[in-house]
Amino acid sequence: MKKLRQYLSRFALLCALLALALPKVQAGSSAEATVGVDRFGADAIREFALKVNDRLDEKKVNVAIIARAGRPRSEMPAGISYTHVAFVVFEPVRAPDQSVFYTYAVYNLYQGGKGQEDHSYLKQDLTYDFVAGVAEPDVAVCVPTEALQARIVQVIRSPAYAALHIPNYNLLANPWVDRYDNCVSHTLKVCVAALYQTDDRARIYRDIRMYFRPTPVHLGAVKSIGSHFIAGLRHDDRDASGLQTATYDSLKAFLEQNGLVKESFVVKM
Amino acid sequence: MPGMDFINYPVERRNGYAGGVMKTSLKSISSLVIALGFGAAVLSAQSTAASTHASNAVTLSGAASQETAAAAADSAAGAVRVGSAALAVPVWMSGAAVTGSGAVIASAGSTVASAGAAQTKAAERLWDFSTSDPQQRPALNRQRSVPAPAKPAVVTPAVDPTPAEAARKL
Repeated sequence: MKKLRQYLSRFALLCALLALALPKVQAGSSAEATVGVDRFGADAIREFALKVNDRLDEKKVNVAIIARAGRPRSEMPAGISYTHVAFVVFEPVRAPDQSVFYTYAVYNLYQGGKGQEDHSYLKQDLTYDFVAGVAEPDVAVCVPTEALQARIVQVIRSPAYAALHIPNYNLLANPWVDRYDNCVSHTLKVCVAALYQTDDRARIYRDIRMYFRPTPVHLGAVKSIGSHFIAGLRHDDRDASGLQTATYDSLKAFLEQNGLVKESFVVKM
Repeated sequence: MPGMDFINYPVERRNGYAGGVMKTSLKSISSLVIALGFGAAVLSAQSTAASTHASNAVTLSGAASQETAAAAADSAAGAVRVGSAALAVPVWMSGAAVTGSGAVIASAGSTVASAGAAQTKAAERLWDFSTSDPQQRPALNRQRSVPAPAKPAVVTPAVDPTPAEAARKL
């Protein structure tokens, strides 16, 4: 009886401490992780953006998949090297003064801001913005074959690009299930849509289930419990075998295994 | 001390015992809280937009949202909304893009024809890698692709009037 009382009081204390601690953890998690200019300085980020553009331009890359680590790698689950993936396209852009110049435009799926972490939106910006989110001083680049590049850009410029987007966000979205999206799962869907030249969503998911092998995510007991308290992380699409998601590495492996990669490289700051 | 009545236990040892339990449990509880917090922090906020945006450009809205319907009316590209603070918008999004060969940019799916037709309205012949000659690839505009470097503020020291002028104000 005494032991039971002791356990109950400890449990109550634990709940009280958790209630106090978790909101701070959630609020602080994204704000406290310094990235980009805060971490490396304005000049370094500007130079890095120029370097990434220059490397792409030297190789005459027109469309590529790029990836950055938005958190220190030491904090990432095993098997995950990058946290954000997007398409980069060399194309003409129009400035506010209506002049046109050529640069690399970046097509992103971003997680919603504070209070909207369970939603996402599609946004186009430039290489500088992509680089301004790095916590690690490198950007990975995967260049698809010329034929796939052309088809990817066709999808990006079609209504299929937005139609394939699921605004409900899951940090560890299971790419086999048509319920949530994150930046990599949307990128994967665009690649599959381009490959099969279809905007048939059911067909795209069928192909992903059949041919794409996601990255298994092993969080360990403590992180697993912690993961239930994170806005933007859902568990109801998890596979029977456990958590799995699409990552830059599994996307690159999928493209490589199917002869769809022209080259891949890493640009370091 | 299994079976020992806590009340009858010597005070000095009782304090030690109680303190020991309290210390141990607090230690383990706080460790758990830190560990859970760490677990949560490690996983959170992966694909967030960088807060130091220098070139907010375009937000594309979700297909199922009401925003999309409004966006389609605003833009030639269909489900695309051009932000008012845009600093550089791909020309195809601004409804003025036709490829160098004069062809409408092709798209996947069956719902594309209308968007393509709209794009032809404001025709503008620009190089496009999917249809144009690779030898004619234009140069990357390096400087306009990134924000201008921040210039250190130049502090101009105030210039004193001539001694004669200063003397007049005495």
